[in-house]
Amino acid sequence: MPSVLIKNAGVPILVDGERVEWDTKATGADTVLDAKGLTATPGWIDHHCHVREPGHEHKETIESATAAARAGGFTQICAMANSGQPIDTRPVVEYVRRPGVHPIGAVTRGLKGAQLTDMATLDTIAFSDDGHAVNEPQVMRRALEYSKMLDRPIIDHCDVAGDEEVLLARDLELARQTGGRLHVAHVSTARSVELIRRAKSEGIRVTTEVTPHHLFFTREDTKSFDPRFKMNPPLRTREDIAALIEGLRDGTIDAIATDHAPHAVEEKDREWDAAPPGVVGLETAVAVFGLDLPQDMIVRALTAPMFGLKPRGVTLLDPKATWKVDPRAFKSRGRSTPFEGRTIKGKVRHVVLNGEVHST
Amino acid sequence: MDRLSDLPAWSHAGLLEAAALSREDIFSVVSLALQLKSAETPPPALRGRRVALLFVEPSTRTRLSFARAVTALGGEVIDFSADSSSLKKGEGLKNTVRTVRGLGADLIVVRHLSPGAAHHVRRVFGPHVINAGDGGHAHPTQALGDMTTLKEALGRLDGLKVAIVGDILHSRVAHSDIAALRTLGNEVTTVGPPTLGAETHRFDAVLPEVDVVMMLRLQLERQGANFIPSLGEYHRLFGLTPERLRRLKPQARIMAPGPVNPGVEITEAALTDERSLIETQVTNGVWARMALLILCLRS
Repeated sequence: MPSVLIKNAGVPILVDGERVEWDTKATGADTVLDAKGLTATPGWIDHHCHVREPGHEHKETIESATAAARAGGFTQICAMANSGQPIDTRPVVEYVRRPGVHPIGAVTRGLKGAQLTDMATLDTIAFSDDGHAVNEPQVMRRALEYSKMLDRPIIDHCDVAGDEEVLLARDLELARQTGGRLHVAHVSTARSVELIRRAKSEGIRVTTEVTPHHLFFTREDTKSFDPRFKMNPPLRTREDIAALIEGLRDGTIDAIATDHAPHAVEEKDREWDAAPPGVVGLETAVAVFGLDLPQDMIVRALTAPMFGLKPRGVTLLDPKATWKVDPRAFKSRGRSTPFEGRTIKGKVRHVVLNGEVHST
Repeated sequence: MDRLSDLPAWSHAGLLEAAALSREDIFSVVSLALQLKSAETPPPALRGRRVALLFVEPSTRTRLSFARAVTALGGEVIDFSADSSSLKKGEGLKNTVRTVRGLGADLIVVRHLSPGAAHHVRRVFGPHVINAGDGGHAHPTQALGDMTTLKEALGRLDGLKVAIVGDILHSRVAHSDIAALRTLGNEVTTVGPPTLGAETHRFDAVLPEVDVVMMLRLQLERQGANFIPSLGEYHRLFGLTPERLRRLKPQARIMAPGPVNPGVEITEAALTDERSLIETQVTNGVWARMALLILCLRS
């Protein structure tokens, strides 16, 4: 495998195939990249990404999602199970799995919430019916119990008609009783953060993530009824944003995950009720560097070692560059983003992975 | 065998749970069972005695096993099965027991879907009650038969490493076998998915270490209730497959309480493996029940 030497981005870095050597003594490589003015971090991981393929290729393909991920600074993505053909049997797992793409298996067959999938056979890094909550408490209980065998988390989409906290409270209690591992997808309210904080202090095995859009936008933004602001869970309040940021600060929230949810342009360009929920997020995640948080904390949240994953490769961003978000330039097939037209400070320039440089 | 004067000390008029038996008690039943088995004809120890079979939960194997045991010893069987009995007419267990007593039964063998049913029968009838299986709670005579089988095959009943694999949570056989094995001083490891009450799921790590592997029947309803996601996955993780048979010690033994589900917890290869004691378990069930009946009704 080829190698890349990154110079002038703090310490010199050698990316030799899969191996990344920070502060390297190496002086040469197949490619030398002058990263002057750029900040180098370990390659980002997106733990929550909808790649849509197999089945809904009109929204996104694994290839376009991967290209969007790299353009956005991510060297690894976790592919949620609710593609058009759900990831609920082993052949689909094998189909989706490729370098940098980690399939997440469904909790229940067809995401119907009734019958558990063959989790040991799927053998994915985590399991989720995301898009849907697991409504039946007994099913969620068995999922948490059964998955203990594999020591993998059940990722819950705690959202029923905008109500997040009731299902979250239920699942935290189930996690406590079963000793299973729970990961809470896209936490969005202050109360949820508080529930998770308390659960962690009680030793419950829970982790959680927050999306960039929940850190920047509020319900106020939905007053225009523009579906670029429509997603599940919905946008909340300023107070919720403050609590989410505090959650990142004190470690209650383990990761920033995009919940990249592309749809075809025709699907989102409708009146509010008719448009499906979901916005893209891979190519605008870098906006989080504009939050009032120390940079190393943000990097930690973008490279969280959850689901047994370690960061791969190197992400290089220009912290000072500003750019205006134009979805037509996206690598993703999805174009619907609340960041459209906004100016973001911070731009991903390259990701270096497997000895190759991918430049944006 | 015509002399029963050398019977061991025995203080139980009936049997509700394996946990009620001491090491000596289990040895007593096992050695008497093997004596009966090796004799040409069983003694008429139950002549003039009536044993009622109160099988409210349907059963073929256990009921026939008890019927065989009673008649082989010269006793008379009063057979109440749920289908034809007045229980269907809503008589209730207590009054059925009174009726059975009125018919001159000396001892009742009970099988029922409710845990504790045999305990209830004992409160009404008196101490001559044997539990033939009460819901998911206990099946002590199965355990006695299994101990007889092990003693016969291995020559000893202590210091064994035993793995019991499957639905520990719901299996009365497992509960009784575990109790008996531990009372006797054996090391028991339960194996299965976390949802079914086992202490470990690592079947492949445990298997090469054991002297005995006991495969529990998986009730197919467990999939519908999501205790397991599918029979296929259960079989892959916990089935006694040919591949696993190769990893089992050559001197180890395979057991399973019937009936079995071939292709689920067990395979044809395991059933016909030379280490299998499964068929012997059925036979020894009768001898153990005979021994228990003799001991309980001796007076």
